[in-house]
Order: sequence, then C-alpha cells, then structure tokens
Amino acid sequence: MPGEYQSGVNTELLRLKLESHGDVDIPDKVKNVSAVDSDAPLDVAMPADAIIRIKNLKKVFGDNVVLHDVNFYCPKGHVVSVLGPSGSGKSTMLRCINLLETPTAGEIWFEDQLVNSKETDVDHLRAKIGMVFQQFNLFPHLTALGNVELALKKVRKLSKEQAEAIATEQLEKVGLSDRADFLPSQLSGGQAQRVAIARALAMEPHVMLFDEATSALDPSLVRDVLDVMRDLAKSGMTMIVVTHEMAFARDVSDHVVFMEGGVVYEQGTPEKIFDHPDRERTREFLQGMID
Amino acid sequence: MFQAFIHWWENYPITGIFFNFHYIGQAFLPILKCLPVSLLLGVIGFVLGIPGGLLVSFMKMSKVKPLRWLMTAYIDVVRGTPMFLQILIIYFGFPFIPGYKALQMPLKQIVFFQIDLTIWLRALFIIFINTAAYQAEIFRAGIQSIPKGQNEAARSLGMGKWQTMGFVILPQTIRRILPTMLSEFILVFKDTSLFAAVSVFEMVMQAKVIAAATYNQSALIVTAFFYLLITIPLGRFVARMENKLAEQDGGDGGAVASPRAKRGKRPPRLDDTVGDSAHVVSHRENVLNSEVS
Ligand SMILES: Nc1ncnc2c1ncn2[C@@H]1O[C@H](COP(=O)(O)OP(=O)(O)OP(=O)(O)O)[C@@H](O)[C@H]1O
Ligand SMILES: [Mg+2]
Repeated sequence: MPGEYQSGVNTELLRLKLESHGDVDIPDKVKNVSAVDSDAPLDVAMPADAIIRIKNLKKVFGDNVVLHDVNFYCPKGHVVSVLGPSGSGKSTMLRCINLLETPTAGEIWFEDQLVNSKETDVDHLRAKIGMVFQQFNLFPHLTALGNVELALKKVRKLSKEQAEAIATEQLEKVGLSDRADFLPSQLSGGQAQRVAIARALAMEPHVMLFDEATSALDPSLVRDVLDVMRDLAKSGMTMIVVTHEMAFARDVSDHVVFMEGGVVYEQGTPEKIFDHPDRERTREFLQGMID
Repeated sequence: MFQAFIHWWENYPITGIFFNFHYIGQAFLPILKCLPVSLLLGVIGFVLGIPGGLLVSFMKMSKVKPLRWLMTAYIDVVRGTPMFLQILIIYFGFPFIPGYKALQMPLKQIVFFQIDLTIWLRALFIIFINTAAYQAEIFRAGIQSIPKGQNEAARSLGMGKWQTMGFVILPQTIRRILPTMLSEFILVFKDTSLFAAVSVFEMVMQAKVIAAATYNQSALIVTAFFYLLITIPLGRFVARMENKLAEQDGGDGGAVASPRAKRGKRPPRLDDTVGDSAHVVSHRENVLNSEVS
C-alpha cells in the first residue's frame, strides 16, 4: 500500500519538475531543491488506476499565482493528508478537484475522467466527490435529517422513503440518530460537522475531500469528528484530507503531501515526512506544529 | 352643556372642518366601500410584483451583461422617478399601445367595485412595474446576504444551479426578507392613494369628492383612519418579526434593509413605514394642488 508511493522515482520526478519547468515562477524559498538529473523525463509516472491524479496543476487568481505546479495522486482506498502553512494553496488545490475553482492549467483526473475538460458534467462529477468544509455549511433551514436527505431527493432522485432510510442510516453511522430532527443551530460544532460528513457520505461518493474539517471546532469537540474520519478511513473510503491535526495525519494517512508556496514541496509516507523529512522547510513546519 | 360643546366643536375651524362628527358619519360608509379597491390594488399589485421582482433580480445578477444593464436601467428609472409621474405617464400612455382600442370596449363592460377592467389593469400594471423594481433590489440584497458556503455545499453535493437556488438559497432568503417585503407592501398600499390623480375611485379619490361636495374635509380624516387600521398592525408585526430575526441571528445576518430606506443601512422600522409617510403626503398634496389649479 504505502509502498506504491515509494517506488523511488515518483517523489524524485516531482521534485525535478519544480526546477526544470521553465515557465513556472518558483518562489525563492522553494528554489533550493537538491540537484536532480535534468535529463529525466518530465512526465510524472502516475498509476492509471489511482482515483485522483493531479498533474502540473496551476491556479492563478488575477495576477496572484496561488498554485504553481501541483503533482500527486491518490489510489483507491487510500488516505492522503495535505499539510502546509496558511496560504500555501491547500484549499485552492482541494477546491479544484471538484471544480469549485477552475484550474488555470494542468490536469486533474478523477477515475478515467479528465475533470477540467469542457465536456465534464460538473453536477454529475460533484455527486461522486464528497466534500466537507471547515465551516460545516449545513443548510440552516433544514433539520439534520433534512440536510442529509436533500441531495438524495434532488440529485439521486430517490423517493421520500428511500431518502429518509438512507439519511437515517448515515446519521446513525456518525452517532447522531438522536439529533435527526434538530436544526443546525441546535447542534454543537462537532455534531454539525458530523452531520455534514453524513450528508456527503449519503451520496455514496467515490472519494471524500476534507478541508480542515476540525479547525473551526472547540478542542473538546475535535475528537468526535476525527473518530468518525478514522472509522471512515478504516472502512476503505478514499480520502484527501487537508488538516493541521498532525497525529491524525501520521496515524491514518497512507501518504502525506506537504505544500508550500503553491507547490508540493515534499511528499512521502507519514514515516518519512514526520521522522526524516528531506527538506528544510518541511522540518521547520513540522517543528512549528509540535511547539 | 353637551349641546354647547358639540356646537363649539362643529364651529371651531379645525375640529369643525376636519373632525366634524356629522360629516365623519356621512363619509364613513362611502369610504369603507372604497377600502377594498385600495386593498386589492395594493395586494394584487404587490403579489404580481413578487415573481416579477424575483425575475428582475435574477437578470440583474446574470452573467449576461446586456441583461444586467437593461435591468439596472429599469431599476434606476423606476427608483429615480416619482411614482406619481409613473402613474401619469403610463396611465395616459396605455391607450396608445397598439391593439388597446380594440380591447377597450369589451374590457370596459367588466366592472369590479364600480371600476372597469381597463382601469384595474392599467393601475395594476403601474404598481407591478413600480414594486417589481423595488422588490428586485430586496431579493438581490437577500440572496447576496446568504453566505457563499451555502452555495458551495449544495453544489458540491451535485445539486444544479437552480436546484440550489430553489431549495437552499431562496428558503433562507425569504426568511430574511420577509419583514422588508411587508414594509414594501405597506408602502405600496399607501401609494395606491396616488391613483386619485387619475380619478381611480380608491379611498382618497372618494374622500376628495365627498369633501368637495360637502365643503368639509372630515372625509380625509376618515380615510386616514382606514389606512392606519391596516398599516399600524402590519407595521407592529414587521417590527416584531425584525426583532425576532435579530435575536436569532445575533446581530448580523438579520433582516435585509429596504431599498426605499434612504437613511443609512438600518432596516425600516415602524416609524419608517407608518410614520414616514412624508413622500406619500407630499404626493398627496400634489394631487390636491393639481385638482385645485
Ligand atoms: N477566490 C480567490 N480569489 C483571490 N485569491 C484567492 C482566492 N482564494 C484563495 N486565494 C488566495 O490564494 C492563496 C492560497 O489560499 P488557500 O485558501 O488555498 O490557502 P490554504 O493553504 O488553504 O490556507 P489556510 O491554511 O489558511 O486555509 C491565498 O493567498 C489566498 O489569498
Ligand atoms: Mg484553507
């Protein structure tokens, strides 16, 4: 499993890409990359069966280049954690995957589909990619159950009974069957976030994206949400998790991506990233997180 | 003693001319009979304005630039001109619409509350044009006050743009704009009095006729009473609703401010909608003046 990433070449090639790509403006702090053979092929070898493949992703807002060149992939059933300082482009990268942001250049592949292509049926794509937001974004006018049911009825076109059955089951899975009839304003942050997770899971997504799902929570409520995410990972769900929860990233991930200045600065197994990262900024960042 | 008081009351200029019991009694029923006209103009015009305003707000937020420009121009024109003038222009402009003459005769045969359908349609059309512009701004402010995350959450579940609008954004918008919409209704209801300018027999027109015939203004006071009968309870209800919204949402995210409220960002309250009839009064003066000259 984690070994797939360690095939040796991948991380090297990714790093190479940073330097040899002439038109990408690499920030100074990222430039001190260890020398690599510049004759190596530019194309990053990514297993074709990886459920998400991101190649040379670039995103520009106005004249602000937020993502320079992002490359990584996530095989089916794996958990990829994305770490990095504030403003490094983690959210932007995640939002590009389900087209909440339109990539400026590069390729994002979801299963055998090129996501950022004109032919993409955006709604169809998004129905298969679950997303959980830092601010929960529950629909305040609907109960917990109503929140989970809505897309089942409107997108999957299920009957009222079927939708209710699935929604009830999902709420039960996140431990909130007794809160089904509560409005979001009557839920704690941790409960609200678990409803949001249930809402995304009810659509039976092929992959789940988490954008700092626990960052807006009281420390005492973080655990419940992380437990749900752990269970989900164990159940074999493919997950890309932007997080500041280092223990979670270390325990649960198959692969850790460290972003910095709009590029994947370093990536590898959790053991490698946490115990002996190759590069200075990674070390500094992790050091800072522990302090 | 009592006789003497009544005698003084009816001969003293202010009480005698504006609050004369005899003329109040006389005007009460004829004006009450016109209350349905004022109410129907207000209610039907306002209700027609809801889908109209919604459509205009969508077009004003549309990605299609010409559509946006067109709606901006429409809203600017309506909000930048007095309704009194809009009534005069459209009311007298209507007969020049091609085909109107042919329809006129059959339509004139249909009469509600002693007002024929050509008048009803013209008046309702004017109210619709006017209130739709204001309501569009209320809807737009309401829709734009919903946090972006709501849209993103719905879209990320695979819901379409219009599904998201209909099942996620609008239900939340409606709750927020309800007080402002009711305030808008109160304004529309009061503005129906402007139709006296074109002799539509709503309450003010009826009162003017009675006043002129009796050389006594008490009918105007009776009319004021009927307006207040509707506007005060509604205004109180609006204020209560606003307070409740403000409580629930804790300050921000409360009611949407009315596009008619010119004094800062505060949403209109009872004193704005009922007490602040300044523009209505001044129009009504115009009505009276134009009649005098
Ligand atoms: N819609 C936008 N328009 C313009 N700039 C944007 C937009 N969204 C993000 N940015 C900019 O992109 C940069 C990266 O933002 P992003 O939210 O992706 O960072 P992040 O790594 O998720 O940070 P954080 O840990 O604070 O969430 C920031 O400088 C931000 O200002
Ligand atoms: Mg972020």
